[in-house]
Amino acid sequence: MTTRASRFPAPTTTNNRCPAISDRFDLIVSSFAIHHCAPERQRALYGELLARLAPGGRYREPRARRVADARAARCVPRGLGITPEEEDPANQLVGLETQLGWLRDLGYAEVELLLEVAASSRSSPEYGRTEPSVVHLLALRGSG
Amino acid sequence: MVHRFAIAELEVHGGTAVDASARIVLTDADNGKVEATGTGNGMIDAAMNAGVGGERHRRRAARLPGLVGDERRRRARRGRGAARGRRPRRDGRGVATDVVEASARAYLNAVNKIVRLQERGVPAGARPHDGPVVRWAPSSIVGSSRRGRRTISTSVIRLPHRAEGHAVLRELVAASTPITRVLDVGTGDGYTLGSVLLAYPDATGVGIDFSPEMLDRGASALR
Repeated sequence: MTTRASRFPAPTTTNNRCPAISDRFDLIVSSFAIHHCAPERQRALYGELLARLAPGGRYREPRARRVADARAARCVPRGLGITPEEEDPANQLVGLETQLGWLRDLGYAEVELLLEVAASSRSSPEYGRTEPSVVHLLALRGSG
Repeated sequence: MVHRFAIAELEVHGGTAVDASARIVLTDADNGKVEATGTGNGMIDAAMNAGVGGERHRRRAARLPGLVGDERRRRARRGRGAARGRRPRRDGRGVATDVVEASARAYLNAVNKIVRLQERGVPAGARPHDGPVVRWAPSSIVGSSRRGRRTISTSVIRLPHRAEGHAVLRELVAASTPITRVLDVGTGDGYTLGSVLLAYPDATGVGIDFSPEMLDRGASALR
């Protein structure tokens, strides 16, 4: 079920699947949400989103640089200023390389990565470092 | 344009059963070299961390000022907290046939910009221009994959604060095709969808979310 208005439609209720929307979208966005799904579901979801993109349509997603798997648990996610123990257990972020591989295999025509670089503030324990902490993905569906 | 730091060598290792690691050799404008290693969540992460280490070592050896040293002076001049939220952010581009190398180059180019501005005496927290517009120029590289020609490009951008999100979204999604239909997956409080719809007043948006409560909040925020 979808509810639409000319400009600010009410968001629609859904379950763990994309809604049965027949329309294609010129732009699909998602901000810090998809990583709450299991990795295999995440991969499938990117495929479903591709199917809902109009030719030449774009998908945009900001994501944290760090991953929450066992390997990452041994790395301090400095960029976000939290420790692995403070990490939200609901996060199931996969590695960036893995995600890029999915997008390629699923058939996205172009993927652009935009990496944040912000020097730490004087009060930060990481003062003097510059490193990206957030990655923006911009994926394009081919025009075909 | 003189680049303070450049990549002379980059070597990365990764896989499913090992921690990703990287070794990097940086040169500076005086052709001095420094080697550094790093580990990370993945190969891109490891390359970044190696670059961070190399850049710091080189700066120390050359007795260059810290990257954000000027911010301290600005804060002292304008009062404590004046510089809050104004961390130095610069963009950079990296081009390579490999996404790891492109990321490392993009990162280093952003660092080079900060260094150059410092050398000119520009305060680290100064913005390159007034207003919230983020400037980024996508650089495309073309690689091959099993499914044929794919393009992957990497940029480093100055990300906005949340209040600046509208302009950024407009820039990020600048498309040759008109945007009339927008889907927000996991719309939550509707902030992202609202930002996009502000950038595209003629567009219609649909938000979906697991949580009926969040949908209610998003709906009232966007109404």
